[in-house]
Order: sequence, then structure tokens, then C-alpha cells
Amino acid sequence: MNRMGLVSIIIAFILALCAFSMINLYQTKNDLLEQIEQIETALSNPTDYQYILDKTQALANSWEEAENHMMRFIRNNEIDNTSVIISEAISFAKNKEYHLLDASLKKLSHLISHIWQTELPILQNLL
Amino acid sequence: MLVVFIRTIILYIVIIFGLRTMGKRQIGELQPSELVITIMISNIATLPIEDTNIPTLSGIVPILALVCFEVIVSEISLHSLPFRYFVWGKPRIIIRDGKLDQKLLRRLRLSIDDLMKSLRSCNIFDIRDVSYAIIENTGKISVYQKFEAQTPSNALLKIPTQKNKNTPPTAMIIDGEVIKESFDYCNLSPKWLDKVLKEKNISISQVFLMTCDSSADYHIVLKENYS
Repeated sequence: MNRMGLVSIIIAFILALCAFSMINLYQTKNDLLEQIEQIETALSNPTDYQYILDKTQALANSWEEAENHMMRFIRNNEIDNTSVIISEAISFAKNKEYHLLDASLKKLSHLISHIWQTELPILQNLL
Repeated sequence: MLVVFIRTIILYIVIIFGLRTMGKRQIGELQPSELVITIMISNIATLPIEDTNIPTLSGIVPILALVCFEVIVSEISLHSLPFRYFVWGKPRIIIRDGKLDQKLLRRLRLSIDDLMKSLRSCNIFDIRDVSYAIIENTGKISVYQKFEAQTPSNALLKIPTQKNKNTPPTAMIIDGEVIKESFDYCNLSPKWLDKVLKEKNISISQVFLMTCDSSADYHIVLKENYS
């Protein structure tokens, strides 16, 4: 195969990989932030203990699924930090420590947004 | 530890693939852009090997991207002279008609010691013997000697061309192993080799090196314990 042909294929592959990772990350971010928002809404009137616990558990499951994809594209430190906060959030939900759970959720949404922002090809990240 | 080991193998394969894609010249004398690429690749490759927090893809993607850019730049350079000069630079004549261009020497930040060292590596010890000296864009100095200092060629000495002397000798046996491709190159057959070895009363396994050219002029170096 001629060198330029091979190079074109490699560039196409890299661009496809970038697009795939960005789309995947965007969907994951939206999904997780939506789930966090739902828990935060439930926390504003914390009467249904089981609902909050189920929702937090669902958030943890979604993160675990997303983690496997993200490990291949994103620095593992940031993923590990997020995993730690999610496991804390489950404990807080189980022990009905809602103010701590709320703080964890705030941290989580900040971290998830940060992961997305650092992957964006904007001037701030490029320079 | 196993992860680091596997990552090293993956990145090693990617770099070998990259260097092969960039072509043979990359491994020999480097153009400025090629030197940059080589340094960058070697640095990028070490990051995911050392730090397991960095995904391997974060090492592979930039390496492949750099290789692609290098091939694209080479391709454009082939078709555009101004672009070639911009990326790779231009050869400069520092000695023209035996006259040293001191201004250019200063501009190139080349000391007279550097120049003399380069001339000596070309087997020239007297600057008066130089007619032209050109600094190539790889930094190497090419020298054209004055007529009176040039080594006389066979043509100049009017020595008639000898048959089959235009092909350099090639290795026919290396460390007891026959290089089959050399038979085609020398227009000889394995039978000829058997005959030669029989005459010399030696076996293939005893030969450390055997070179031969197309005129069947050969040279044999035996292994230490047989010589």
C-alpha cells in the first residue's frame, strides 16, 4: 500500500476515535448530570429514603458502566476520584446523611463537568 | 508491573511501525523536521510506559499523528521547493572557488574548528585543497576538492574497465549460514559454492564470513576454532 494511503487511513482512524470518545463522553456526562439533578431534587424534600437510595445506586451503576469506556481515553486519576466520591455518596444515602450526600453530589457534578471541559478542543485547553 | 511490560511492547511495536512508515532515511541522517519528530516520539512513548494513569491510547494517538504529519510534510516537500526549503532548510556554500565565506560561517554559528574537523573527517587536512564546501541541511559538510588535490580515477589514469568489477562483493555465508539471495546477485549457483568449499576442504559450518562478487572472486574468513 502506498504511504499516503496508509497515512490517510491512520488519520481517518484517529479522527473516528476522537469523535467516538467525544460523543461517548458527552452522552455519559449528560446522563450522569441528569441523574445527579434528580437526586438533588429528591434531596430538597427528603422523605422518600428508598427513592434516594435507589437513585444513588443507579447513579453508581451508570458510572461503573461509563468508567470502563472512559478508562481508555481519559486520565485514570480523574476517573478514580469520581469513583471514590460515588462510593461515598452511596454510604451517605444509606446512612441518611443527606447534607453530606448533597455535598458529594455537588462535587460529582463539578468533576464530571470538568472531565468533559478538559476534553473539549477549545482555545483554553489547547494553549 | 505486567501492565508496564505490555504497554512497553505495544509502544515499541507502534514506534517500529512509525519509523518504517516514515521510511529508511529517518533512521540514517535526520532532516530538522525528522529530528523533531524522533525526539517527540521518544518522549511521548515514555509517558504512558512510566505512568499507568495515562491511557495507552494517549501515547499511541500522538505517535501515529506525528508519523502521519511527517509523511504528509515529506510528500508536500517533494512537490514544492519553497516548502522544502522552509521545512528542511537549504544547503549553503561556505567555501566557493577556494574562498571561505566567513560571514556565512558566523551566521551559521559554525566555528573554524568545526569546519576543520569536518574537513578532516573527509580526509582533507589542508583547507587549500578545497574548491567547494557545502553545508547540507543535515549539518554534514560535503567537499569538492581542487583538481590538483583529487585522487586520480581509473578513467583519468586510462585503466581499462575490468569485466564484472562494477559490482561490490556481497556476503555469501554469514556465521555458517548461506545467504541464498547472494547466488542471484553474483550469478552463481549453490553447486559452485559446494565446489569451492570442497576444493578448500572446509564445510559451510566452519565459515564465519564468505564474500563474493559477480566475477566469482571470493574471500573466506574461517571461524576462530577452525582457522
